Amino acid sequence: MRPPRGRAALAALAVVLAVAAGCLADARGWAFAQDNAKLKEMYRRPDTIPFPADNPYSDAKAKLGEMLFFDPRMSGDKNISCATCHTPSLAWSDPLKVSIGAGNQPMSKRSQTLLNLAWTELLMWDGRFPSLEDQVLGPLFKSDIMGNSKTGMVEEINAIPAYRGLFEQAFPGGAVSVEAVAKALATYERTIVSNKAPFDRWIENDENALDAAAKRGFALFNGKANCAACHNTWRFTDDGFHDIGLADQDPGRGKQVPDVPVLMHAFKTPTLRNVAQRPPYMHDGTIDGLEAVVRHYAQGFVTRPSLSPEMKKLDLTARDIQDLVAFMRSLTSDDDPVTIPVLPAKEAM
Amino acid sequence: MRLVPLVRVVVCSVVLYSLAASPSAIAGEVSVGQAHQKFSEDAVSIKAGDSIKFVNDDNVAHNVMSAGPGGSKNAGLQKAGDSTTILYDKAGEYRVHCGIHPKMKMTVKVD
Ligand code: HEC
Ligand code: HEC
Ligand SMILES: [Cu+2]
Repeated sequence: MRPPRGRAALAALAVVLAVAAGCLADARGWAFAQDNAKLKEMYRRPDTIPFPADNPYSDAKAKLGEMLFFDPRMSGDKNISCATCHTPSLAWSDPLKVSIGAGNQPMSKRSQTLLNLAWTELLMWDGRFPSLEDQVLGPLFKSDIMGNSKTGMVEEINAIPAYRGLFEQAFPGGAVSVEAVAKALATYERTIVSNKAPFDRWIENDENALDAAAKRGFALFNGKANCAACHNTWRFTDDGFHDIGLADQDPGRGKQVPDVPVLMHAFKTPTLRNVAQRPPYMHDGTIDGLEAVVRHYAQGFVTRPSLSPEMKKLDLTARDIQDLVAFMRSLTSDDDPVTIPVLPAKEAM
Repeated sequence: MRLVPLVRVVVCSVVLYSLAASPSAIAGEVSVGQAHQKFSEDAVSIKAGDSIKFVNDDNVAHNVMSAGPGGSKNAGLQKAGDSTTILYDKAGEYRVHCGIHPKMKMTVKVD
């Protein structure tokens, strides 16, 4: 007996869908089982730094930004510079659980590294600033960070004749202004890029650049440990926001974007470049070492509705943990020493 | 099903292609993928009353937020394999991004 036509069509559709489902699963399998060469290609460093069209690079801007970055006179009490909490000696962060700002006030979070921010999307642990130019205005004028005022800052800079000349060179025809300070600092920040690390030499096919433990760690990182779900690309970050189950109550990104439940307790994925140089870890600085970080991912996180779907308990052996740490250590670059600029003096009237 | 790799590639391409192409047969639905933490299109042009089906063909969870004339829409959490459809009934320019991965962005132009 022939089935009615509708049923035949349905049956055909079911077959097509079943094959399609198989194909999608296959496609995913392929994605995971990509041969090493293809995987390594995803981690290759770019050759040039991107600068935005509305604040293009110039040597004069970068040089001025560098001076402002290291100048404590940018703070209300003239005692704190950007480098106080983002010191090049400690991978552009600081050694504290949470930074200490103006008037010795503790901030609510740990200092983030400034490495490789030219490529990032949103700034801060909770992503509240859309660009480096916008971000600068945060620390300068907040009472618990650098505690300056806009007029106070512009007056102070104008009282230093050499600075007026440097602003004129960087922004021809423009006066000293808050916007110019932001553009110069942002330009300098974009030039803060980590050099090649042993990992990059391995990516470029120097097989001896990594030892066996780090190579196994790389495989785990992209495989069973699932780290690359969030720490991906050459900077080892998706520039996204995730709740990885740290036990504190800080709403993080959830305060900025309350209508997406998984953004509650979610924080910006940090780059893992030079990560071994800047403990303690996490937005609250509560994890002291890299081994403890891996243990957190394996078993140590709290389960709650906002927990990222990418967080799954991991079955890692003691050797797996060592291998993942060895891999992360291979991301430390041999950077040239950073020179601290000589700053122009104020002229007494 | 263990097919010879080449046969598998051909069969899969044909099946997936026909499925991907089929929404255009149903008037007014366009399909956008999310593989590798990227929308498959940077920009899409549709007509008022059409919808976009966002298909999570990636291996991580995503979200879709769409803002434009008539307010913003939020598709919530989309796990791997899930899809969600957003109806665009007002003309204008919409900005679409993923709340989890703000780097995932695209625009929708509705005529
Ligand atoms: C008193 C310490 C302190 C000072 C001074 C300071 N910062 Fe920060 N910075 C922090 C902390 C803490 C965070 C993270 C805060 C948060 O997310 O709420 C941060 C975050 C940032 C970020 C975001 C990085 C990212 O990956 O999103 C940038 C950029 C930045 N600071 C630049 C600067 C600049 C430029 C200056 C000087 C104008 C400066 N900071 C001064 C402590 C400081
Ligand atoms: C669900 C996404 C996700 C996964 C999966 C993930 N991470 Fe993270 N990682 C993050 C986020 C987000 C933070 C910051 C969390 C915070 O401070 O609240 C972080 C922080 C870290 C830090 C601290 C960096 C710093 O500067 O403080 C290290 C190290 C790290 N992760 C390594 C790993 C390793 C190794 C794995 C795999 C075992 C892994 N991550 C898996 C998202 C993820
Ligand atoms: Cu996403």
